[in-house]
Amino acid sequence: MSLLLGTSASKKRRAGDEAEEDEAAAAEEEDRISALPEELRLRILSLLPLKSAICTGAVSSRWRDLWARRWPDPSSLDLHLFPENTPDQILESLERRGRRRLDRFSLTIHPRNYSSPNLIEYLRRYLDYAVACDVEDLHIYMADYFMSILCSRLYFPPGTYHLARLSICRIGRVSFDISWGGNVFFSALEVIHLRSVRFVDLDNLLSSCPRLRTLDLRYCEGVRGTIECRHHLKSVTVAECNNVNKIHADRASGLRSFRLSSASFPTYDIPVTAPLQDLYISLRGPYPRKPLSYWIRALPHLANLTALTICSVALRRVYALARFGSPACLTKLRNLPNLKELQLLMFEMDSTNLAHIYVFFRTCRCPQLERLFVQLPKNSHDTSEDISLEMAEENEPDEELSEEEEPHEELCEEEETGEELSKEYETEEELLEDEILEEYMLKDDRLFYEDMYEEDPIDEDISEQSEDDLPEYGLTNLVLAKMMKFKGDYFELRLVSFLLRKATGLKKLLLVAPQGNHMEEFGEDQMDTSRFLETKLSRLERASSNAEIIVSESDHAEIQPLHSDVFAKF
Amino acid sequence: MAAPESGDGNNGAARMVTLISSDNTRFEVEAAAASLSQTLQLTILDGGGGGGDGIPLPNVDSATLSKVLEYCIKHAPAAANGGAPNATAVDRAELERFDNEFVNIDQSVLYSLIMAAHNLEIEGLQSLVAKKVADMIKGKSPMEIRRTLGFPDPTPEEQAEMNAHMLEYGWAYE
Repeated sequence: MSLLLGTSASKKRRAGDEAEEDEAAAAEEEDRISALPEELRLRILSLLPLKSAICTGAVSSRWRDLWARRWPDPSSLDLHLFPENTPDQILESLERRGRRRLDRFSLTIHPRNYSSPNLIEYLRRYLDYAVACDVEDLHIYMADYFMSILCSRLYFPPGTYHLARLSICRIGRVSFDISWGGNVFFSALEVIHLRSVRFVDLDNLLSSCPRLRTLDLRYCEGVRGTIECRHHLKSVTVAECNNVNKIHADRASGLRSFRLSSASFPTYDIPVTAPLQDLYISLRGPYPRKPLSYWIRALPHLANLTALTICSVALRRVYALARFGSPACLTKLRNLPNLKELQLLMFEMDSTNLAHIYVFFRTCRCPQLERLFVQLPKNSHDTSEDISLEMAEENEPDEELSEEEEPHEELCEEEETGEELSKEYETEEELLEDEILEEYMLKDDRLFYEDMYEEDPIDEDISEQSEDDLPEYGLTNLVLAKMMKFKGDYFELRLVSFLLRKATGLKKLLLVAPQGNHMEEFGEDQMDTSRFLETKLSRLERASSNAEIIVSESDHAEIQPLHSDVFAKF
Repeated sequence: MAAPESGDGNNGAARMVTLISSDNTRFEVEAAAASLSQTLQLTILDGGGGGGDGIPLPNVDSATLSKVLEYCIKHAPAAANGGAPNATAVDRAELERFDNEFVNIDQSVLYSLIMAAHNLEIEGLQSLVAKKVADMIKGKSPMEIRRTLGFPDPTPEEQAEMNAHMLEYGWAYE
């Protein structure tokens, strides 16, 4: 060690001003900190919060897994409570481990008939233990949904100063005594994931996390009203929390990720300058009870956007604004210079939807688009009514959307925000007129388009809508398209045909059949169906000579969109 | 770390010891200060380092040693008080100020220092320097850490490894 120390120090001194030597010195510098004895490097790592410690793992191969050894083993516990385990045994073994530092504590409780007081008591003891070990990354999962609502509760003891990430799934109630820590109860907490948490005082929770950067709420029916996002937040996901009616994020100036999936059209506000990189908008519900213009109006500038997911309801709105609104109303969506990945959630897929997609590509310029994902509906018939009331994925009881009075509130809200932001848009009245116009037009449109598409050469339709040529769709950089739940229906094939003709650089088109054998409906066997499809597909004109079309029954796990979670069921 | 009570010289004047760096520079310093080093403490207790002998430190060059001794001299009185239970707030604030200033140094010196503190077993100095390095890393992205620590730009392979790690621990990079 002494040798190394001596030589490198003297070399360092000799390193002159010349660039080459500087570089050598830099490389040497790396050697020097990495060459410190492991004991010293572990000592440095033990002074870091978990997140920073993990980051050192990416710095170089000599640091790769060192961080995981900074506390005496085991510093990461992944406990599963199966019916055959007694919770006491596990707690005893934990006590034998002692209260040494813990990086991560994960507890999964598998279904079993606990009595409610017992379960609550066990949860309390596990949580107390984890907190006493200054856990930084905490996960609590209940595997059984119904039991969790009935009889689970997490009560955080004071002392959660080190907690950096909290992930809770299927817990009836989450609470803590705010009087202990005031507004810094979770002083280090940066990431919160709550999934199917029945009762949580989100206001208090958020105001007790001064450093929160990521908020991810899924299927939390107990979260109601307005979500107040503080200014440190970088990422907000609110999925299927259908009692949330507003996401107030106008102070989150650094917001990079915003994901919203809801059956109740909540409003939101985001600072116009937020450097949004990924955006997920999935709105559905009884259309058109509420004007949808706010979702466009409340968006920030989208110049940095690289990944976008939008649903067919929103596409419909883009279409209406593009065709009947003033040019200003789509300013933000019109230019997506950095968009690399687009996902369309098609709750329905008929002629109008097809038109909406075409118009989207014509209106919203995304010259860098490389990957396109299309989630098709399960059934080809118009399913908008089904979707509107169907709860997604999780089995929360279907709460009737008590929206009888809400539309009026919404309209008032609309007008208020409209006043603030209307400069670059037309007035609210005009927009609302559009809304009516749109409805009127769409009825006609439907027929119009259906007629159009029955006449096969779709190009005619396009040339009628616009004189411009192929590049106008901006699909020249598209290399990959993937369609999920592809059944080979007429309009699906039309979309395939469109992509094949317009995407001049397309390399791969993946068509994935729905889960379960939908072909049975038609009384055909799979081989016949796929052969039939292949014949059809092979006849389609292709702009890209080496476009490969792959029809498959199973999903390709390695090709997934950034927004791989589709919260709504359709 | 508490210095031994016997660290103060037996005769009126403080006992001095001589330390010899790897490049043969001699440093004369009070035994009490040198005894902050657990390694030296034993030798000094045995009566070493006095007179013309000197204690050779082949692991530490003179630049680093002078820095180490600067620390030891400053911290010796407080350490002699056995962890300074009666130290005033002013004294402690002064030490803190000194410490902050002390580690405000070039990185190469910092690494030499952390090694020297480790080899000489000077607990307080080890903590201080480790803390400084940790502060340089804290809250930074891997690329920022690389730059801060003076790593060259990553090669494509290194970049790929970085990305893989970031994927694996996505939440830490959110």
